[in-house]
Amino acid sequence: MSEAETPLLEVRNLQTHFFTELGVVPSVNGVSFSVKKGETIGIVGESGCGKSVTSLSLLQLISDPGKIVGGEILFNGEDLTRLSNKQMRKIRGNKISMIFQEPLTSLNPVFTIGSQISEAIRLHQNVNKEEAKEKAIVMLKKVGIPRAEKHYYSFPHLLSGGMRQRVMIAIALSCNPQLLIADEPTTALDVTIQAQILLLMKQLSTEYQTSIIIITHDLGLVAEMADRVVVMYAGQIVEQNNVYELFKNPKHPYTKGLLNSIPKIHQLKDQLESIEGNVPIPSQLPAGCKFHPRCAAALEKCRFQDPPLFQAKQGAEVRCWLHQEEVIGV
Amino acid sequence: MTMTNETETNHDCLLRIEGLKKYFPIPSGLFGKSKQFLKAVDGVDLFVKKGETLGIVGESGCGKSTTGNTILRLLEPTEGKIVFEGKDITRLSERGMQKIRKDIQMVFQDPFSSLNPRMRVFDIIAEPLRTHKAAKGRVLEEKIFELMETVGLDRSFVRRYPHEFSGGQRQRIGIARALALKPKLIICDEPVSALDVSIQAQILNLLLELQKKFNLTYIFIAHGIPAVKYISDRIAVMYMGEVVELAGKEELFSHTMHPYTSGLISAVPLPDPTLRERNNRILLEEDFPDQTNLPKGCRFYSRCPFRKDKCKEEKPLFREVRKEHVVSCHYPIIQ
Repeated sequence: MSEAETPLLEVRNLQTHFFTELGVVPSVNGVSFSVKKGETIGIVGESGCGKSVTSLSLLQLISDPGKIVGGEILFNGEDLTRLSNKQMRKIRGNKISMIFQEPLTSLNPVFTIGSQISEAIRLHQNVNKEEAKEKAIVMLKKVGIPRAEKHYYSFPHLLSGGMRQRVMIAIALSCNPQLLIADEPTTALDVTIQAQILLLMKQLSTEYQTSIIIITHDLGLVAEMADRVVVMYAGQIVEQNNVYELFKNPKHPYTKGLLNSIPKIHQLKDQLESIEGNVPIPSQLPAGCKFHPRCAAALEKCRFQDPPLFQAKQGAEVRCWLHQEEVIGV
Repeated sequence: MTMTNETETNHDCLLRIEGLKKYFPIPSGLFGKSKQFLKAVDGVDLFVKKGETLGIVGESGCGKSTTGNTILRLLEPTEGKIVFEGKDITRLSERGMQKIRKDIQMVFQDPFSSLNPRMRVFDIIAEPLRTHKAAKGRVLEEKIFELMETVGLDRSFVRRYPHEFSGGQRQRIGIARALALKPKLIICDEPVSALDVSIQAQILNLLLELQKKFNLTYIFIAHGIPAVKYISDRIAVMYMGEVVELAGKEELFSHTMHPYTSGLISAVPLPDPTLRERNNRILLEEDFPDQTNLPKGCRFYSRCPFRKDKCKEEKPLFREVRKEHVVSCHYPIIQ
């Protein structure tokens, strides 16, 4: 593999389990994907599918009773799972940043937003207080906060939800990270504000060539933002492809089901097909294919044998026995 | 106003609200002697025909939920009139209201907090029937099994507690409870917002199915345009306590007239990556007016991409611009 093709991030067979009193919960169970420089990856799935645990694992933010029990996370060729806490702290917020769903709880209410941005800058860059402040104000302007000099001294509660999320983005991008992980960044916001924030993220990623992992349950958001899509179900990747192919030729019955269950506002007539049953509880996963109890196309085999990830047509990777014939080589 | 007058004689009209206002006092000044009000709902005129679904859509804080709660008199209206089946229920006593609440039921957003965690499914669904002395003993039991079946719950679940169910199943319990008294109108306040995507479709389809089966009328309140579009016959768009546009679903989407509606629709991310470069999007700015000190002109002025001087000075009237399509905008978008 040549230098140019080396991905920025490569996750190999990541396994994060939670050791609870009721038994071991395999929240992330063998997840592999990679992110190239400047690329935006969308990880989609419903609650409990392991998408957030995946993102927290990347930053080594899993706490007891959870533990990364296997796999590698290669960032610029370096395995993050082997780093010490101290070494990780140099990467977090610096080379890899994260924005969370709820911008009110992720900002400290007793510090001004300016001091919170400056803190991140001074922690990772060799600058003095004044320079940090200047940089922070530049960042606030960049994310579209009006009267940035004044708002530098504002406390988080004075800002609206959309403005707070802009501050979070300013903090996340203040150290020019190579990778930005956005976990449901707009779920708590109104749609009109969501559109603004997404546009901002797009512009900034183009400007800085930042790679983005966007984690969401909203397929619309993925269609809008991502270059490649990873669909997760019950702790595993069930389908992975580039965004155009995935939406044009969805292969896994779960992906198809998800697409059919969103109301389409750009079509006048539409009929919603729902996926029967419920999302399984991670501690009570079925045998065989994890999706088979809800799958209309399930075969006898699906009840006993967990399918591997097959290489299918149109560049897709699909975890489904129905696509077994399309194997090009595993 | 023309709209409501027209329906006055219409026998199909199940519920009508006129000039509905709900102001919340904001404690301020010495000893909290408040002079300021938050105008959550500020002069709303709407009607709902028998058997239809009226969708109410808008962003958080637009007054859509307050409208729903005021109709049921869970909140006392500050001003205005609520007429249900031709009867003015605005000043009805609590006892009188209890009879009306048999006919108007509600399904709430959060299926986690709207079900009593200490009650079993049986008692949750039985509660309205017991309160209104509609059934007891064997009859009550049969009735509950029947309701559970109607909403797609297995009757073996009857002794379970809410925490043993997933979000979608809990919402089914909430719907069964709402159906128990055979209501005429169900107000659904964000019934699918807290649910997973694959479960949302199940619940929306269940609501449609039940509507057909029992000839129900719905008011469907939500912030998400897609769900509202899927389920509604007519849609009212609310902004800052007022209805700014109201039309039949197809009319509203094919001839969107208010810039706010247009912005709301185009902000929804479409599940089709080939449309991501669409250039006809209207992006709304984030500049909300102060809700306790609303501008004298159009309330949407500060965010409107098409604002003109007149909009700042003069409040637009709610007027019928196309047939059965009302909008409050000085310069509606004409396609």
